[in-house]
Amino acid sequence: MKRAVLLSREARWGYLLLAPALLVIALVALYPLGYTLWLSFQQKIIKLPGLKPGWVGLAHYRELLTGARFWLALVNTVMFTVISVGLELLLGLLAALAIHRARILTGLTRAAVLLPWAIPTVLAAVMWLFLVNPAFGLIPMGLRFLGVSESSQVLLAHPLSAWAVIIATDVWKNTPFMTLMLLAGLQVIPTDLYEAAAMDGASRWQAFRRITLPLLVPATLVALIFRTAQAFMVFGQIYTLTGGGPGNATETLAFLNYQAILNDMRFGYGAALSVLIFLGSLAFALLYLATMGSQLKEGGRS
Amino acid sequence: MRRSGVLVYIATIAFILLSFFPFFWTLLSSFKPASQLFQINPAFWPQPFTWENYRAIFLERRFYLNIINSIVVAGVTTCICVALGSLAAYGLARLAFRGKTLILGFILVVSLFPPIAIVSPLFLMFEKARLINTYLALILPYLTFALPLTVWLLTAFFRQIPFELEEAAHMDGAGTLRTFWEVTLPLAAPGIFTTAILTFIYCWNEFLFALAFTTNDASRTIPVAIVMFSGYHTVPWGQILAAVTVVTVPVAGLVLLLQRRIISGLTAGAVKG
Repeated sequence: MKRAVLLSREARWGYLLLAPALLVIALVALYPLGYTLWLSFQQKIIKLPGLKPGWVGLAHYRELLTGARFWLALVNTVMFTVISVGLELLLGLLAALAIHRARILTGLTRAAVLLPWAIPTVLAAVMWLFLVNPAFGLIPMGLRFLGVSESSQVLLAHPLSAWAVIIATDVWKNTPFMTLMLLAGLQVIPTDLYEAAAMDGASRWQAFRRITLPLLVPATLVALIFRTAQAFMVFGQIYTLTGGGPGNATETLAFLNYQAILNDMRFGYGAALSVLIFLGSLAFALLYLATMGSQLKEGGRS
Repeated sequence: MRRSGVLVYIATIAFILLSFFPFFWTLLSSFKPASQLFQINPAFWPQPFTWENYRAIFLERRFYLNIINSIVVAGVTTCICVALGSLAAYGLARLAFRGKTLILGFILVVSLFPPIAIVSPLFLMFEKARLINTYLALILPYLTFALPLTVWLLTAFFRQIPFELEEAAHMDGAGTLRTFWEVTLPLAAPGIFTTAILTFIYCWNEFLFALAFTTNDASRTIPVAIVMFSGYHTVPWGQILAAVTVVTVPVAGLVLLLQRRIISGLTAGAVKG
């Protein structure tokens, strides 16, 4: 590629053009993040002004790591992430394959894919909350019809069925995104590959295993890591559907953290939990980076 | 072979129906009077059909304030992001300098970081500066996820523009800034528009910051306002469903109108084409 002549001049412009955006990111993201780290070693509780604020070292981290609530939230978050993203991947793959082959109602299909993606997560949760309302929701009505006991119809009152509702909401909201990404991946697979495979006498299943799946990996991996990072921070559904209940059964890390900060006003303790969550998601981000690495370096999609 | 064909159609149609059904049910229920809404074994069709829930959210709850808040916060954030983002993306897509890969990687990492991680210090800072319940208290944290997204998407779009035209402008003696303004920007307009739509939608949908940094009904954005409709003892389902319908209908229109653009934006920079 023949790029411009005066490299140093070009570089100067490059830094100049990037400076405003990077400065803003540093100011609104990095500075507060550093502040979080500092706060995590401090005692700072607004509700109890009598309590002496100040340095407490690792006390918050010790409290978190020795308490059962943190570990339950961690297990919940990981479980939610694995199950939701796994289901979304599986259903998304099936939907993408079907849509790709059916080629009917394409406008309607596109709308069906985009609409759940485009609305706020909490509105999806609100709609599902209405569907599972024990008194007048459609789903308990269906359960009643099937002869499920009255107490079991109160889906959000039992840990297992509460999780099922949360996961169903998430799957409903996010499978379309996965489908879209996989569909885009399917559309760039050259059709002559399948023709060649058919010529060589490969069965449909063989063509799927040897051509479709491997060539879908790049698109899948990006969507997968993006969704995983998102699911790991799940908050809105929990807040709207269960409020962490019954008991603490559906508390996730982000929800627990929100409660610590805005309910209990424990800013230092909350910051320590934030630091732990941040470290966890940094692992995902680095994984993402490793996946996207080739694209970053090649300097263009041309 | 024939059977798998039928299966494919059934799966596609099931997918469409499942995606639309909650919207459809919400829309129908929002026109039901309370007596019908709260009956066991819900009736299908609103009888009698009523606009009461819509009247209540606008006249009693002043839901339009929340709509204005959402538009202002998402709109201003999007404008800032597109302005700063297109400069940065032009640099990243077009100019050669050291550390570019590192910067792109950094931007990706920032775009994935958990919003909750900065709520604690921001709350303390905003309270001290008396910014709670102001637009600024939402716009500033929204930049943390919106700006990296904008830079990333715009970089992908700028890279799709043929380089030759800019080279020609350079050859004719146009400087970097003029080339950007007069050649690249007009060519990039569709990509910038798409990026703006996506950024706007992401801001429009945000919940955590909006919940944390607003404390009264008048300053809330749409998602938070709707969740807060519920009181301790009563849940005004009719109004909640009416509000969900009110904000979903324009989104549905937008999505139908701009579906190709939105899809190109979502897949840009994610799927190698």
